[in-house]
Amino acid sequence: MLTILHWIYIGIVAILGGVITIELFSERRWHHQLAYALILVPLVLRILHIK
Amino acid sequence: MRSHHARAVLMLILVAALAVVASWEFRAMRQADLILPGPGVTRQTTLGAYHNALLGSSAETPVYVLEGALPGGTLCVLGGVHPNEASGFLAATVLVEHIVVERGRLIVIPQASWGGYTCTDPMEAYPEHYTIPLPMGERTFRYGSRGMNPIDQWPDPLVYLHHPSGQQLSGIETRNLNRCFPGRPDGTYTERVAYAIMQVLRTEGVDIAIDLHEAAPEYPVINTIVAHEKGTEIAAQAVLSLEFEDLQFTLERSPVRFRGLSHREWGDGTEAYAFLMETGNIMQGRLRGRTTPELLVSGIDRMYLKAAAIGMVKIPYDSSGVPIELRVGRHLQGIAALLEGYNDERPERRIMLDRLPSFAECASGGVGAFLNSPTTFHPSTTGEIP
Amino acid sequence: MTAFRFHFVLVAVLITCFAISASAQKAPTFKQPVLLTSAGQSADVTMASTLLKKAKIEALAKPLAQPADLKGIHTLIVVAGFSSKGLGAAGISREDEMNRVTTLLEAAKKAKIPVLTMHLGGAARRGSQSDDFNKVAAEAAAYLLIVKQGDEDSFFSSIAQEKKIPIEVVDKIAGAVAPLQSVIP
Repeated sequence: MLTILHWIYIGIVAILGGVITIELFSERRWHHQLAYALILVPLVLRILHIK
Repeated sequence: MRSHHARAVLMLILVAALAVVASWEFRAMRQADLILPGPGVTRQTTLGAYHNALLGSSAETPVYVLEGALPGGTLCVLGGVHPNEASGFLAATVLVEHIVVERGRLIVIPQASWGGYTCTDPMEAYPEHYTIPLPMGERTFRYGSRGMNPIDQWPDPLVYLHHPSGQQLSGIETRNLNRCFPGRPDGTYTERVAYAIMQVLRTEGVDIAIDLHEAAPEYPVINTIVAHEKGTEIAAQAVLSLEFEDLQFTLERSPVRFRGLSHREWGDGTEAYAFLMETGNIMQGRLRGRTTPELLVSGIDRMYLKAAAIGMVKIPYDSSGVPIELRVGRHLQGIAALLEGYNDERPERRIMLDRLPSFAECASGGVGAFLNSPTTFHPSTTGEIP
Repeated sequence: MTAFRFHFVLVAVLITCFAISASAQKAPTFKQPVLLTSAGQSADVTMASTLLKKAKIEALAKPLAQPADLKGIHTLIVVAGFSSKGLGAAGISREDEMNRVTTLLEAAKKAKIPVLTMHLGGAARRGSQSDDFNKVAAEAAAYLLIVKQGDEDSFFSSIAQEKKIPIEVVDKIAGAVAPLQSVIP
């Protein structure tokens, strides 16, 4: 029962995830990189429809 | 490769590892609980058999039918409408695993809100599982969420409009099965489940339907039987009968204008006498301390002792807590009392159950005494009681 | 002891005996037909209806009885105890229910219809929300029939003593059948 709204949301999450990944690679400070990385965890789980 | 790029790659590996661990935990909650049908079960199906839209979905919860040798009426018992209310599910599971029907028929749905068992309620710190000791070994069951999994039904609206009444409730109630009856065949995920359960009651010609719940000990409607107006005489008889077993139950009438609840919609929309029973669950209380599986099973909490001392607890509460065997025992004795009242009212469609544990038996033997052991369980093919 | 003192003590003892017997009020006798209603809309009124059937007493059950329903009635039974679900089931507010109860009790008093107040819900029908209704119904009663668990703090016993109302306290709800049969022959 996945609606169009669900796929729009997944698309937004995927774009956000991509933006954060790009920032992860351009960021030089390790603690900021860690913060970016940790944000990715729930986004990945959402895209995979696990949580 | 620059050092920060290398670090970024390492961070992504960390993310992948965390995601794998978290995924494993979340997906473990989708592993179905083991229910071991006893000698009384004559047929097993799923909710999908009553509404095609559920076939192959995460809402396809098992439905157990126990048919007696003699003709009679049909009783339907639901547990797990709220998966964080363990005694209802366990009482229903005892029915599936232990009892035999002599006359009439019993239909049991132990985990009505199947999707709710795959997730938890945010901010409640509920454990994922709890354990019930058996005479030999133990059984472990999931402890779920009050509502369906948002993975299956998203997003929640700001205001939930009940179908068909248009009653407005908080948006989160859209995933509360006990606010979605009678449901609709093409509605939300939860409404489809509610519709399927209504179809069980209608197509199976259920005469008496009982919904088993728990609530916080400070909640005023507790240790109670809620009755649709069709069944208030039966419920009154049951309360008197339970009193003779030294079990205090209050009687509540189903509010006519509060729509979506099982006792209201089952009674209005089917031929069944509809009842709901509540016992007290410390895990749902707002005053509780550490939320552990032991708290769920024992019901012992020192803050509730303090609350009881100042009259804030609506059930009898002392240092022995409210253990799960007493809560399950109340449900089972309550079912027996309601059946007694029903049989007096409709003797031509009597329902007789055998091996139904009493409150006293549950209290002394524990719930595990009436559950099958996975190590010694053999499905009965002859209907003989092992 | 002088003759005066002897007679004084004798009279004092006799007066005390009368006082003691007066405080152990004799239960009145009620006549049928009976109107059964609720004060607070708890489902205990259904319990009372079941008890009356067991006692073989016919009663007209009207949880939302109005003064007009008292016509032709010789006894009003009020079952005290508040339930928010009951109010919801009846579709009225707490204030409206209190107004209904007080108006009904005043009408019964005016029509000289005795009131029998029952409290069957135990501790669950006590507390701040119920006790307003409990008090109003108890104070208007000619007889109180109470399940013990609802009187552990002597709430009803105190009212009975103060207003000199006969009171019967039973251990269990089912124990109310015999007193009902005794006062409503």
